Amino acid sequence: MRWWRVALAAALLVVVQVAVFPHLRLFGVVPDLGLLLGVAIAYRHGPEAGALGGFGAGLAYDLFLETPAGLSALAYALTAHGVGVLQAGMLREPRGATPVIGLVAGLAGGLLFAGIGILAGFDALRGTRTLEVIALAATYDAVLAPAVFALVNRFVDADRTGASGFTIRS
Amino acid sequence: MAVHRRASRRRYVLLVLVLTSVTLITLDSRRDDSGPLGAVGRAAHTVVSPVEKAVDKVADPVGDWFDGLTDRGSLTQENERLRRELEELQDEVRRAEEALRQNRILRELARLPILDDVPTETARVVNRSTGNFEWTITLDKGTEAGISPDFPVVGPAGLVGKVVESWNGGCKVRLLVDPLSGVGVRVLPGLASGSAEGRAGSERLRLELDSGVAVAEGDAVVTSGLENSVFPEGLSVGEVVEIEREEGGLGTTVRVLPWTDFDELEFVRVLKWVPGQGPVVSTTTTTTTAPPSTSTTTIDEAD
Repeated sequence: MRWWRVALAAALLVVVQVAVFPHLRLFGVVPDLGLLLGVAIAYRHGPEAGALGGFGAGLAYDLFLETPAGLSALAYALTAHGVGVLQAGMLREPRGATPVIGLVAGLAGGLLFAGIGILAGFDALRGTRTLEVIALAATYDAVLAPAVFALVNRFVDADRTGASGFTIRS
Repeated sequence: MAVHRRASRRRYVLLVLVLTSVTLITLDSRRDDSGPLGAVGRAAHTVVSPVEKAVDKVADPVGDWFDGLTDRGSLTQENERLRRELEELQDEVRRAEEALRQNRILRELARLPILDDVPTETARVVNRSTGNFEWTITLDKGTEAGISPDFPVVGPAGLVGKVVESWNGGCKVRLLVDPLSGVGVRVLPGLASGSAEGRAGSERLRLELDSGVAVAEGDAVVTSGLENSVFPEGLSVGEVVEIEREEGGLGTTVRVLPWTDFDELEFVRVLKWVPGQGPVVSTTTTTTTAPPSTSTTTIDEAD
């Protein structure tokens, strides 16, 4: 894995997230592309790389949000780290796993974001609507997860895996 | 041994990331957008602004085309209804113009500020909330047009919100319905006043009033413009749609539905009004005389 490619992918996804997805809201929510990037890296390269990738993408996204900077970064890093740890314990990769990973990571990332945000005093995250938003955004993440995993596969790891994808773990 | 060392390093990296995040959250929670984080944020917005504008130019016609395709039948009926309403409203406009003329004369006599004297900047909405937990819009004009944080923003139907961040080429406006938003209001025709606040995910504002106040559904709500208020007095906000009176006379909670349809906003006006000070007069334009009771702030448009 080359880190400049990770940085480029993160920048691209954040620009798409900020400029394009507000026009493509589903049921009023946008997905978390940065979170999916961190999770995809964690799935391929382990918890450490995933946490770093998620942290960078989250921090870049934070620059465009009203919530305190560092909140998305922390939520993405912890979620990606968790996915990396869980993946390391798996004996074999189940078929069609990426949407499920996207859904679970979206739920975990959303709950972490809201929980830490409330602890940090950002009261706008309180309320039952927050849980609804997290569930909807996680579903959106599940739909987009295969595309982001493919991006990591073909762009970030292009020189290591060729076209075959999830075969080599560092 | 190697496995143990690798696990330790993994935990160390995660610890560093957590500590960095917590530090950033703590620093940014106390921000006033003047620190290094604010500067980085403005730089990021400046870089992404052209992309937002380009995407909006493509997304808008495509969205309109899809809307037209799915709503064609109802659009014909809506068109007929709107024509009838237009005829009725034209008569009301004539009467309102006369009332405005009288209002202006009375305000001049009472030495109160007149909104017509506030310089404005018309801007286009190029983007909406970038996250799931904020209710904002992004405009296509910013510091280059003399737009600064805290300037009020109005739409065709009334108050929209206030500018919270501006950069070269755009600005972000926090909508009235955002949970961080609060606006000092008065319920007409009485004198009941309070702070109307947004609530997460709700299109209605929440307004707490004293228990004894006379307020009814359908009453108009306007900005109160009390001392140091963020918004000037008399801007239309919305109407009362629900009233809950607490048992034991502990107070009255009022739900206010804003007149502005935030999803349909395309163009808005930014009022160059500094809270607690009054209208901004640019040094590059001809200086106009402000009303005697209003102080005037001067901002050089060059910055």
